[in-house]
Amino acid sequence: MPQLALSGLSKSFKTGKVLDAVSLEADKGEIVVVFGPSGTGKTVLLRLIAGVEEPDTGTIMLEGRDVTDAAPEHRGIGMAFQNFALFPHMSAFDNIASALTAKKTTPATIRAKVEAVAKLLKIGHVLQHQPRELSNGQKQRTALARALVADPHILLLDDPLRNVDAKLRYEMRLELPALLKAAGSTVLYVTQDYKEAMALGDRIAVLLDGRLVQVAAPADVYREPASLGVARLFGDPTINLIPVEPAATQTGPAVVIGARSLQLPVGFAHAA
Amino acid sequence: MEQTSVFEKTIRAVLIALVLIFFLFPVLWIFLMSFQTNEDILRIPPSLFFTPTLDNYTALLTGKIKTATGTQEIAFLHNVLNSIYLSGASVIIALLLGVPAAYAFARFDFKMKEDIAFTLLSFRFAPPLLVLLPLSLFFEWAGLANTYSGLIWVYQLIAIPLILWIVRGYFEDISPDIEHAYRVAGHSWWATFTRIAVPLARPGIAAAGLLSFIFCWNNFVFALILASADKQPVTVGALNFVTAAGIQYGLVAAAVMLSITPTLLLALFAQRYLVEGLSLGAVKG
Repeated sequence: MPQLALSGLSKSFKTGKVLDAVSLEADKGEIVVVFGPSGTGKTVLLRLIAGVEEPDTGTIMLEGRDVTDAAPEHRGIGMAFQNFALFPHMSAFDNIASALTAKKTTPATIRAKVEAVAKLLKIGHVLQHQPRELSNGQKQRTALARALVADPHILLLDDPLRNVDAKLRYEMRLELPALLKAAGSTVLYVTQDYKEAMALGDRIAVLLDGRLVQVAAPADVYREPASLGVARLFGDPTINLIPVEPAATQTGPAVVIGARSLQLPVGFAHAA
Repeated sequence: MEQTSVFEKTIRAVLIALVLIFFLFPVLWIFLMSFQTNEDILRIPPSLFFTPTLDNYTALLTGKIKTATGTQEIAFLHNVLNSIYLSGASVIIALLLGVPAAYAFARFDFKMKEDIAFTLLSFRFAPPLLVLLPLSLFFEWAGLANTYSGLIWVYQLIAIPLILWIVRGYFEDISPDIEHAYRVAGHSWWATFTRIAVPLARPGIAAAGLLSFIFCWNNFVFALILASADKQPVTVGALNFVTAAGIQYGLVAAAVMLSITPTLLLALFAQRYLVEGLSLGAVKG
């Protein structure tokens, strides 16, 4: 049984259709990176799973339970928002602890858990600070700590490295995989940076214009992109695309580029 | 850094002084009047030099006025208590009703939302005299005339629109994701409202509560028509000094001083909140 199963999720806003029949499954402990350019509905997809938005059609199953109509607080997930969404009037400690206070937990347990996750993320020394006193990197780690602290089975990370500086992003890209594996959660990680996607994902789900166009291991997406659109999104510098005319010659299939012709392996015969 | 010349500073000081004199002179004049006898006040031409007397204040505080026609009982302190009770209760009720309403208007979409919000606002610019006649007839019929609860109800016309519109802007300024994050962390929407939304909108709520308190306190015409002597606030109470023996200007002045003191203190105390609250809510950050 998959830990997370989305089937046929669609969502429209006044401006048009944002998600179109998205189906995706993730197994326990798997990190699935949802990758796509901005404006393709990645964030909306996470918000649907979190219960912050309601899908028009489709179902969301978490651990075999249909939560399509459940309130966010009854889904038992952890989420880090792209804009951090820290509570401005609470200290970093209370921000992180907020994920524990809803359940019946003793203050001592809360303290122990918060301090453990803070140590892991190296923010132990700023726990008493208000969010406005934190640097961007510390804010990002606090938001991450808040998502991780309750050991959620499902973890949703919405481009958590977007608003941090390049150096920290590089460091976190190295740290995060181990951190997420240690947490043991099933992770849905949204990003629009293909390097991040390649570095973090067990699988990459490529979202283009509200549709999932390819779901595969990073190397497969890189080597065998399902479409030109996917190919364009990966690689730096971006791949060169050259229009050619296929032709059948005596020596087999070939493509014509300007005045030159390029022989193709026999397997491409159907193209000509 | 901004450079200001001596000349500019002087002009500025003069202009500010002019504005202050324009607005504060009446208050100063009434302050002086409150220490004068009626004879001093009515002297022509008026004089800045007089022998100050505390008679007006003692009369108000003891509740006995000595006039040419004899001693008269007044209940001015009772009026002050009425004002505190009426305004205070009105603002508390308006906050209990208005803050959740403001939240609903800020966060949820429902049919006729803007129409309802605008209708509520329109209570503020409809002249009170327009509704007074039907209202007083209705109050007679419903047994609400001359009751505290009746007046408090009418004061909601003043307080709720103010609170609703100021606090709504505040709630709208809070990023919805902050509330979403609290929900996802496992808290109910009610907990989110009380522990996230309300604390973050507190400056706006304080400003709106304070303003509506002052507006309720200053109300005259509703209280004049809908309540009789023992339920009347200070604004109406000052009318009692128009006696058979003539208008007791000194007493009116002292009464005014006493009745503006609570709101003045409150406003001074909460000035920071007021300015912050009113400007922050208006401008999207």
